[in-house]
Amino acid sequence: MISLMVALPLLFAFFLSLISTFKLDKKFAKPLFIAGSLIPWLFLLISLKSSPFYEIVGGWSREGGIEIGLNDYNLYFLLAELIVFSAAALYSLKYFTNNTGKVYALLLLMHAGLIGSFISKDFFNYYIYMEIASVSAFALVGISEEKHAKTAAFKYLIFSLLASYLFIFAIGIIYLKTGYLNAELIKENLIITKEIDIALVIAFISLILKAGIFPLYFWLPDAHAKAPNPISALLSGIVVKSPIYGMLLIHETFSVNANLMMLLRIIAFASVFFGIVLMILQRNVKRLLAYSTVSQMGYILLSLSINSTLGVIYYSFAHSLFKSGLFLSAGALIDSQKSKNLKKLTYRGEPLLMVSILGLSLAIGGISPFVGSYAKNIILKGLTDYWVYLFYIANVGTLTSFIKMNYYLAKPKEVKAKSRSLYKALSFIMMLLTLTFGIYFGAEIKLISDVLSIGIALILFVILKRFNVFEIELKPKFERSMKGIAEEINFYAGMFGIVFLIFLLLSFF
Amino acid sequence: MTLIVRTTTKLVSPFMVTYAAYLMLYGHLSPGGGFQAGVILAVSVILLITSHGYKRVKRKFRLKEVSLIESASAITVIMLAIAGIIFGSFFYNFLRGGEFGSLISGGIIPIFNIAIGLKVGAGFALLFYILLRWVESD
Amino acid sequence: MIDAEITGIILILIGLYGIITKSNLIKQILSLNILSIGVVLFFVGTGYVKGADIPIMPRAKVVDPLPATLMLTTLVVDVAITALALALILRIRGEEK
Repeated sequence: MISLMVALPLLFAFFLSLISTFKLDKKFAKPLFIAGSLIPWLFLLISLKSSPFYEIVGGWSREGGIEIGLNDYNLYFLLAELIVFSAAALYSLKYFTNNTGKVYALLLLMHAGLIGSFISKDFFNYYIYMEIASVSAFALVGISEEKHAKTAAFKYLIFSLLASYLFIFAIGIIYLKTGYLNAELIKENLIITKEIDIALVIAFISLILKAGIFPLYFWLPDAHAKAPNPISALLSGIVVKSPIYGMLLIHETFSVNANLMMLLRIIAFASVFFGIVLMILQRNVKRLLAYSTVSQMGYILLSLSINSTLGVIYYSFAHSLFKSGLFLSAGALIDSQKSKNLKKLTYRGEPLLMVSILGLSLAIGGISPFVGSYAKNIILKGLTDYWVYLFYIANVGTLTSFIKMNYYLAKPKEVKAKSRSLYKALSFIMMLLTLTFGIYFGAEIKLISDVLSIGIALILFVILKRFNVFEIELKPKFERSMKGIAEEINFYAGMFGIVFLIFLLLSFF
Repeated sequence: MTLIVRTTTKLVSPFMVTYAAYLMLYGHLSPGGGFQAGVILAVSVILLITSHGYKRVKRKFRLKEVSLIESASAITVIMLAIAGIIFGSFFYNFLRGGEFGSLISGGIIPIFNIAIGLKVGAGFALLFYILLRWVESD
Repeated sequence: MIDAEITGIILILIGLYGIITKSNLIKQILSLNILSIGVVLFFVGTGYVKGADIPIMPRAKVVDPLPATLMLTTLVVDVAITALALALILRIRGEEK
């Protein structure tokens, strides 16, 4: 029954492409699209009654079939995907005005691909669905009408594909050495040899590039900032979580080298601090949120590297909700005020958006009882000695950068038009969901430490403003012609090669 | 292109379609299958495009018809998979039987191969049409 | 005979070199294609058994058919990506004029 969760959105996507060749877009596109995006909720509720549960497609045995399943590892990933996609789908009903049949078909393909990747328990099946979602993402980033959006889509394509092929190479080595591709069967017949260790390092590097974590983050700011607004929410919300599920699957099946875990912990903290520093220097609101994604992905990798799988699951769920809420709210403001510069946007006349953005900023900073604080507490319990101080400093840094965003948005400026009520309602619903899930999971209210964090963050913000840090401008390093794009790809691919070699050498000495 | 090239490709193209049909139908008994047949089907149209020019071929194999074949065969594949649920699980092979090694022994596999072959062939031809719209030459 | 797996790894390294040094966008897509062919060759080579027959029943000693089937899917992804990348390059050039 859970395989229908993937088949029905695919079916509706093909129906949409059929009607778009006959130019019957205006009448039938929207109902088909909404049906295709909301039907998987029905199957999730039916399958929850008999969870945990696995099914082998076609009725074959486990050695010869593809296994898919729903247990407590994937449930929250799947729930986050359905919530974020429903919100983005309702938002994009009003956002796209021409070529609607084709855009909706691509969105439904991405939906089917993401659901398929989260329910799979077989490495090759997971790779295929992740590719379906990624290819739809490249095309959707490219349809934006902004300047240099197609350049961003091309860079995203080349790097994501480089990572995919290396991931398949790693799976090939695992198949050569164990003879199985199914996660359960590999776990039963596992004997660790040196080749499997190398394969795991290669697989982790390729998944780190796809998730946008520090040394390999270069495609992320352009792609997430120049995509259309609902697509940015989907990309930052859920498409970068698909590699995280892959890392979780690898971590559960194999026992990973201890040197690699320490290296991952260092990279995770580097990513958190790098993201915070660059967030403070941004003026474009969507680029600020994209660098925030780089930073928060560092938190999730940190949780994986201290062997805390509950932390990974809950933090991914929390981050999907708040990042997509922030992108949808920023999109509502950008749409009506026609600018992306922080100095020209304001939420003064719209109380609903002001409450949503403030609530989501508090959630991302870890204030209780929002869902972010519950996830951060789980990570905190697993850390020891001086890593705990680094964690507190990182929390204060995140709060500072979001105070910066709210400070610029709260200044009164003149406003030409009001945002659409559909967009405002969706962002408010996302904020309510973060509060509700926080209370449902049972986050404890820690008033003193929250007030202390906000206090220190405010002091840091005032100090930075006094030193005029917010007026520093970053210049782009490469020119924007076609030769410039090729040189940029050369430089970053070279950096990828160097990081790859360093990882391989450091994990084995 | 010259007269010799144009006449030769006109004569060779139908045989390539026949070869693609053989690969589709015998895919479960000898090397072949849906994707390979689809590629050859697409090449038979693309060969005509390179030798005769895009505008002339577009008048015979219209864009709307190619697009219709692509979407319709994709819908057939998924309907076939969902129909398996009535008999067991998703994608169950519900037409078993027939002697080992004969043409009918595959169940739903030949139908699946035909649908995939048509989709892939139509898809690649459509891809060339769209890329050539930008680079018009004859 | 040359081993298929070693050839696969050499092709991957050639493809990686191409992406790092060539400064023409179409040459970079071609290098990505060479990389993918290297991966396919490596994977197909893992299933090879010396002196065995094609995997259609009933035969005694057969080559492993699973890697070949999986690589078919990878080739399809490769073709789709090349087409998308070429379309994006055409659009980038059109915008630049």
